[in-house]
Amino acid sequence: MSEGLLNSIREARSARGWTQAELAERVGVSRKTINTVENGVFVPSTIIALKLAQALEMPVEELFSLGD
Amino acid sequence: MIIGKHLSDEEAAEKLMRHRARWMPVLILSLVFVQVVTAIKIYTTGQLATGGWTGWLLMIFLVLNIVATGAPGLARRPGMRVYIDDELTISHRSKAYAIGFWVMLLLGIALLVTSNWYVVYAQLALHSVVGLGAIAVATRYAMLERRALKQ
Repeated sequence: MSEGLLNSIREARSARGWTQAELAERVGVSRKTINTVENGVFVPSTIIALKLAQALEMPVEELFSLGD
Repeated sequence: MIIGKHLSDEEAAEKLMRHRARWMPVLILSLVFVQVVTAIKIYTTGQLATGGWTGWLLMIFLVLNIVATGAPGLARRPGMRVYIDDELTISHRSKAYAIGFWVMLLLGIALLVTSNWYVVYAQLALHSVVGLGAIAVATRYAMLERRALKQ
């Protein structure tokens, strides 16, 4: 995963039964952004990270963590 | 491009981005073709008549307009801009512009060095620097967007 950033967006999203498009609409970004963040291809800005945490009702540090 | 009004802004943006990913290679290849044809004309005749520039300039304008704005005429649906022009797209655009910068810089240096031994037409040199820079920007942008949509 790029820059050692791990995330649990896919798990959190799946637990809510949301598609990538639904989460994208709630956050206000494109589906491809959600897709690339989930896959670790794109490291989002703090603003997007906070919006994701807000949409998924999770603390941001639970959603993102530093890898080894 | 006609985007159905029944679609949400996010769905319409996704549809438009998929259309764009399909058509960008065609546009880039067309630009390469126009670039080669006009370069041959300049090389064989010494210069290109004013009318000869039109197609080349229009192609460059169209391709760079897509990179810069997401798609022509997007202002008609402002809600889509949030999705078309989001953080990832801005990042792709920056990476594409960076490649274009290096291509233009290195090509400029190469032409300058070449001019020590061979005659380099100013028109051909500027045409090459601008055209290949634009092609590099569009190609990198198209590749990054396509990869992001595929995953």
